[in-house]
Amino acid sequence: MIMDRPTHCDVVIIGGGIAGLTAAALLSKAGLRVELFETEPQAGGCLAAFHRKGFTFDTSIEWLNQCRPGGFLARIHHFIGDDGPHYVPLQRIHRYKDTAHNYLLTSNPREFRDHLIRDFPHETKGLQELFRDAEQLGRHMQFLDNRMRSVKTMSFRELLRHGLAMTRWVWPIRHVVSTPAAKGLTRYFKTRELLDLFHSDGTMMSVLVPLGFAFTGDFQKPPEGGCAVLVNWLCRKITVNGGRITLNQRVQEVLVNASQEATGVRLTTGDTVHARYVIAACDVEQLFTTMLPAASIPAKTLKRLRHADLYYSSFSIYLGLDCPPASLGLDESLIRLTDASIPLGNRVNGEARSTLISVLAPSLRDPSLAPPGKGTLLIQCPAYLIHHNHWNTGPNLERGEPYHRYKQEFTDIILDRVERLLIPGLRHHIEVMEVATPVTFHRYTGNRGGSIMGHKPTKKNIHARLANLTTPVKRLLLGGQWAEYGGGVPMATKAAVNSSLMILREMRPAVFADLKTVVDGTGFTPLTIGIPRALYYFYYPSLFETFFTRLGHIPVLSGNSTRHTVEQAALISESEHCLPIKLLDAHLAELAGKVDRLFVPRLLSGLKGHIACPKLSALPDVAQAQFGDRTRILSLDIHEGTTPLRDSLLELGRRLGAEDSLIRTATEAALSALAEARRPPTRKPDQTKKRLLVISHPYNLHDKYISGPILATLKRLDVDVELMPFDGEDIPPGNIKWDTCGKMIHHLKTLDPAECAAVIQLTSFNCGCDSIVMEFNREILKNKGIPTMTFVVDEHAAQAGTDTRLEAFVDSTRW
Amino acid sequence: MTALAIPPWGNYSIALAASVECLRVTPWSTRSTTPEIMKLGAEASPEFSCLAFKATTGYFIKAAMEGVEYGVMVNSMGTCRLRYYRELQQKILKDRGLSLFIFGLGYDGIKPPLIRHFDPTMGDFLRCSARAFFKVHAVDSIEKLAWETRARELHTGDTTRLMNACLKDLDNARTVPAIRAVSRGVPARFRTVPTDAAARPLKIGLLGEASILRDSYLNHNLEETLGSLGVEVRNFFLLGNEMAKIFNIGLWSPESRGALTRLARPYLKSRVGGHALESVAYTLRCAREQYDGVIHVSPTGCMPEISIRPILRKISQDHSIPILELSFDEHSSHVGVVTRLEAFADILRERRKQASS
Repeated sequence: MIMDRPTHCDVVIIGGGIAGLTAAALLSKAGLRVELFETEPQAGGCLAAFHRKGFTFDTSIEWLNQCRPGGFLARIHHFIGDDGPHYVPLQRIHRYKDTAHNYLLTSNPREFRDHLIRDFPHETKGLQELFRDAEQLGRHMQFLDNRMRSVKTMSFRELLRHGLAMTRWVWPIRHVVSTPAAKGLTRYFKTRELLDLFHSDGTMMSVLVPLGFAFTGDFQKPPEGGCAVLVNWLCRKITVNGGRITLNQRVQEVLVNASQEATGVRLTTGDTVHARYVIAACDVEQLFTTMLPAASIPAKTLKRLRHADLYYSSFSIYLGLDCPPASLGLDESLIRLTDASIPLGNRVNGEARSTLISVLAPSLRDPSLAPPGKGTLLIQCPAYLIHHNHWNTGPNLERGEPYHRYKQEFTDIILDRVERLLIPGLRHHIEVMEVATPVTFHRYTGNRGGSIMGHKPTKKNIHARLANLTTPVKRLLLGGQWAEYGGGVPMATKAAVNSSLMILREMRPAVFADLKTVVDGTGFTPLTIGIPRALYYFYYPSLFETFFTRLGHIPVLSGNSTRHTVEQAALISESEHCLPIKLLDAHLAELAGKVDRLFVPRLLSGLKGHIACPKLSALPDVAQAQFGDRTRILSLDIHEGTTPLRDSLLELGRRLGAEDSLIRTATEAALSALAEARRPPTRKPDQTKKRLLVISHPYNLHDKYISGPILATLKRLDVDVELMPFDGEDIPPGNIKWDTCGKMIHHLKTLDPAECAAVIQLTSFNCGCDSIVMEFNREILKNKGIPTMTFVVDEHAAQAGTDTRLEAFVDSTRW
Repeated sequence: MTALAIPPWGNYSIALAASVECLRVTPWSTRSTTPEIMKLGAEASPEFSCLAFKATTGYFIKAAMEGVEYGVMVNSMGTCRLRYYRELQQKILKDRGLSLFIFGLGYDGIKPPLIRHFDPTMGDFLRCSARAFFKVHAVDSIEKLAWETRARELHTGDTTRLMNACLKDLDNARTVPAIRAVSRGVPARFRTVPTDAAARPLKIGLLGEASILRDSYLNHNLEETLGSLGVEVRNFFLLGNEMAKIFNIGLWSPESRGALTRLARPYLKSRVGGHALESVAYTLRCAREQYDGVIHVSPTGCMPEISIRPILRKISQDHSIPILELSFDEHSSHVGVVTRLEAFADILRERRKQASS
């Protein structure tokens, strides 16, 4: 395997964590020859998984951010390939538990707020303010999704625009960024228990951001099968594109020539690989001190690195249980165990008796992680590598008998605490147990102090300018979390993307431009757009599906209305709505959460010189109130009374960011599809038989639940039925300004009594328009001498009643 | 002299009656619907029409039976059903062989049909308009004082008695100076009601559909019932504000259409029709001004008000302000309404106690 390694390539990447893999995948996709070296026998770093007796353990991922559709990570993954892992939003996110309280943060944080308000009514105002601020901040943070590009790849004009945008972004939240949490929280409330609950050793950002993410739905489960699925997918993408991953291979040194440029790396085997660029996605201090010539890094830089504020490492216990975790009273949320008796300052000091404990049962989110009937449990606490004389290890962190003894002691104390506070008798269920100390994390990731998140974004670090993509050595770029403040998958990916962009700008300008638009969110991403099969869908059949498809988006239609839809509607919808609007609510509920956008147009008028039913003009706002938390609403004003439909569609296309020429062709295609769908079925010329006309609004006539049973019965009775067409043709202005009602009246007025045997007026329960118009309809029909019958459909329609009434009516018209 | 039936619209009926004097007709008006009118209306109206339609239809039938020749009815240019009420009511009267003619009160050419028909002199018209204008404002100020005083009165019923006396004086005032004299005297008269100065009554906003808000028969005397429960109400339908809105006077006032549209914008971006936008905007204002709760009233099946209810619920959730939704139809029972109001007031009181403890 070493034999056939070429001695020259385009980019060498040191380290196969999530950052190294992402950079390798991006660069190899661009056609560059990439060599990646990883010291460990498997790639993945902090995202790697390990298996014991059928259990799969994710090393350190509790949840993911920005993987939701349209999020930064989702866009990057989509750029790498469209067959990437699928992420599902978390419903139950966080549980705060101590001896007295048990709070749950769900994807609807208002439940959490209301629970707190119930327990602390005197702090109502403060709690409301805190959650309101968190919600605002959450929305505010979404802006950063499209601001992930480093200034190093920006043109002067982009730089100016970026600077302005960031200043404008940071201004409203400046006090949140700089105030420590302990101080900031007292602005909201005085109760110690609440201060305890929200306590954080960071700034107010670290308190508000998780809540904000919950408000914007930005907590995702790791993909099914664990994070290793993501790692394996990236590895596959790299090798498919001709990149090479070499495991079990340490890089000895980075080769630097006389003009301080990196030219390649020398491996521990003695081989050298020359490259145009080197990306170091590994620990930065190790890189600077051991892999580079001593003179190439200024001493000041090294000193600053050594004194930087780092995120803590972790002490983790991985348990395989012989029973499902649900039977121990756990759910998919991450439980944060606190103990009111421990002073706030001591909770992150790394001592076994006082440290914070987080408990999570990954197999409840993803049953594939454990054998059937069993489960996995992850217990984590903040810890430090230097703790207790480096965990009783030797001078070079050798792990001997004292280390193992101390590790066992530490584990016992933690397990005791978990048994006391959360799961009594936990030890009886343990089948497999693995323990990782900061020494373990240091050993596997090489990160300084075993830190899992890198530099903290503290003032001290930022003033020392610790995070940099570039190094004093030219053509040597930092590509991992050490190039950013803070860590986690989004930050590591951000660094990888930015270092890749710097290389692509020089070597593959075309790919650079593509990736740039993806990072900036200005590129095109196909959206799934949910269209409920109700109301406006029947006004404009085929129009919206065709339009969205032609723009490259994916329309998703809800199913036909059934008995079940009606039952669902009865549960969720306002009880005094008319039936079609109730059905719309049920159709929207069916789609919400499963699509990127819900399409709810504001139908103000569907006919020139007319207006639509007033209830339809509030629909987008009502949908926003009911479903806006789960799915974004895509809306559009349709007012054919003043604006031609063509112009409204143009506006809709622009809102989706499409090119004008594409929108125009899509509009034409959509309008002809609409005309096609509205054309009434051709009728057999049958002079002997008179027709039976069914009139109603299009959304009643074509809905399977509302008109289905009636039309079926009429068919069985062998009646020649005609449905009133709604074709959008202009009609002369009449007294009634409602579009569909005007159409009905016009149709009845021009009806020839010689051709029509009878008219059935179909209406839904509580229809406001019909309550007025039916009286006028009846008068017109009476004057023409056409028999008529009114049929009211509600949630409780019964087939037998329908049959009897229709049979009697049809018989009476035949005599 | 011919008579003109003016549908009841709470205490504003006084002002409306004054405004038609210039037409040299006798106003046939009353301040609230009666059970008999309601019964007549419910029988004659389509099943799903709203309570306001049934009440006014009943009123016109009753008037026609008493020999009144003319009636007047709002037919706004809005999107709500109200636009067609006049026409449908005329048809119902015709079908029953009654000969009352209903004038529409909307823009229709330069002169409304009513003015065209009776053709008053310009002087008369302006004089009556001024009287009506001042009477509307006098009624508004009496209403506002009554809300405040009733919640604090020591002897139940004092405020209502005084209010009725004030309204009677107002009704009898025939000239603008007389009306203004009554109006100026009102605050002093209300100060004579013995009140509990230390009381901190609950504050509830009343909003929703205008005719229900104003007709004390249709809303089962909401304001008085709440007042006697020690609740200070604020009824957000004031005709003075409404007129300013219609004629676009006071562009920068917080009651102007623009200000309300801006206020409601985060939750509602369309006017919808009727007073739906106002309901959303005023709910938000109640939340902002720390009201204890909101009562949203509408006739059963009201098109604009029902369609925005989910939005009101969302506001209630976002701003933690309790909202009681009341739908009224001809079958609503008085005791049922009172029980719900009492329960709502109890909950709000308990909430306030918890928040301050």
